[in-house]
Amino acid sequence: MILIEAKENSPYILLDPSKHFMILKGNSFMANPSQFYSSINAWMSGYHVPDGEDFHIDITMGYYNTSSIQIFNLFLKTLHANNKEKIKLKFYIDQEEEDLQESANSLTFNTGIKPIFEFY
Amino acid sequence: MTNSSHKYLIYFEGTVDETTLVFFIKKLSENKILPNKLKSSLKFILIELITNMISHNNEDSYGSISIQKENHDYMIITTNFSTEQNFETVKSNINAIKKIKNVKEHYNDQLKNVSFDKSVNLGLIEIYNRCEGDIKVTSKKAGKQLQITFKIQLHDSN
Repeated sequence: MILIEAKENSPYILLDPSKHFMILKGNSFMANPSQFYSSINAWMSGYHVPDGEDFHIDITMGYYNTSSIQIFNLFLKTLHANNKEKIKLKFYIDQEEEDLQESANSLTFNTGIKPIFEFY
Repeated sequence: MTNSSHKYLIYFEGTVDETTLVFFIKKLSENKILPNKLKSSLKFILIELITNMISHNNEDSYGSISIQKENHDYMIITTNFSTEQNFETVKSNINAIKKIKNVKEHYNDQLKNVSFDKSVNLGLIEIYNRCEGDIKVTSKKAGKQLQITFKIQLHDSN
């Protein structure tokens, strides 16, 4: 399990492979996102969703810088490539922050994942 | 600048680091007057600009960042110290983006090219898209260093 507490410029992350889910919540505009996301990237490279299971990702969107978008887009693309049709992604977006949907679209662009959007 | 209705909303001068960026984003989030769409564009632009300033500062991370209102437009002006090479790269990248018809499509094309060995520069494309191309970058010698100024204007329609 990976648990990272949120800061003002980095998200809360809870990753529990045994229960097949990951939660991200908040902003991601740190200066060095590759370092920040290194632990989940390392986990992802060796992970395969067990037969008969799906892996669920819930992302409550905050502000992402383009460096974070690149890293997380690649993360989702690779995770999907290694686990075809088993990645179920849901975005939660504040309805007063409509531009965050654009960032969410960039996160999943060309990854093969078809996300669900919920506005709150 | 001779404009009589020119007004600072936020001005910062000092060492630019991640705390500075958090400060600006918090100040904008707390603002109850600016429209949401404009606040959002200001935040996205500042995130890219300040992250870039932190990454490309030349030894000294001293700089200034301001958000100003002029008539019905909003301007972000930043100054920092960097190298002639960085300045020329930024100018050349802006000129290259100016020639692109569909900037959002270009952004997505670039995103497709990202790999674990290769990152791409999406920040400038993001800024250019948000300010609809109203971005100027200039430089001047400051002693042995080169001071680079970005001036980005957001129109009232944002």
